[in-house]
Amino acid sequence: MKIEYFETRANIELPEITKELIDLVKDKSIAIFSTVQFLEQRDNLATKLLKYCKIVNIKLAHCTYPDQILGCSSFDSEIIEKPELFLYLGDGVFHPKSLLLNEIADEVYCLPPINLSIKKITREDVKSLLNKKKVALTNFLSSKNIGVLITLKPGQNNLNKAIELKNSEKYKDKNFYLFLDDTINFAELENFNFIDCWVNTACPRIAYDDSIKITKGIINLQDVK
Amino acid sequence: MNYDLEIFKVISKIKENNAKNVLLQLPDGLKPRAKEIVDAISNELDVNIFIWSGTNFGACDIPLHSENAGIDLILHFGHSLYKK
Repeated sequence: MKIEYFETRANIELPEITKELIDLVKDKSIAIFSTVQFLEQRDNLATKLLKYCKIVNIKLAHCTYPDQILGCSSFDSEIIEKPELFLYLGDGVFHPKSLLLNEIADEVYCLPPINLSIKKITREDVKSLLNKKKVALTNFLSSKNIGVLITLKPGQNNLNKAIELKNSEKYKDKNFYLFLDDTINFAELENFNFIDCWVNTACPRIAYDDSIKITKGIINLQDVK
Repeated sequence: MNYDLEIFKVISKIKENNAKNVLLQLPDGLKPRAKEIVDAISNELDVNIFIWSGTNFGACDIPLHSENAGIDLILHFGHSLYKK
């Protein structure tokens, strides 16, 4: 079976850059990320800003292109030359939020391509999610029966790592139960009431964005290794 | 927002792969445009086109098990290749 990818690039012309944006980036080193849809517009913006600032190109994990961002890519990325400013060209805050969750950036300036209005998001905006992670980690360490969530989705499948965790010496005081699904159904998980805490081996955003859907704590595999 | 569905490339890839059973996988934002894509393919080619009604969270989320239903080509929209 073959898979062909269609990136559905956006057909949109960026508006003129504003004085507010120029003042923001002036004399700084900046990175501009975007989703694959807006990479062309991202390059246009970078060209326009180049005379005011230094542009740093960064290739994040799991991405096809430099300066592209995924919701998960900053979880596995290490940025050696950190820019002074992070910009995100695109809709919403789902993707740039990952830079805050992983403490890669303290703040990210989000620019919708339609009008380039500046919206700043900061570590404060994800504080409750980071606190939840700390609580879930404490919950994991004090729990006996742990459910390990594994997905069949090919890019998110970490079956071997789940088995490694189950067999690890470090946590030999715990009972690990392995759960397999395609799209994880949180309502179904409630049936397994013997589980004290969940470890997620699928998309790392699940332990943040979906933690509200589950009554027991949920922590990512990376956080308990 | 206007996104390029690359219909010509879609049709060319189906021909190139000599596919008979094609699965269309769209992210939520493009699901309302499934009809447009299916109709465009149907006007050009005699193939079975199926629409994946499940998730498309990213290129990490490909329904490989659709091969069990005889799918020989997945057209994944909205993401570039995921590098694991």
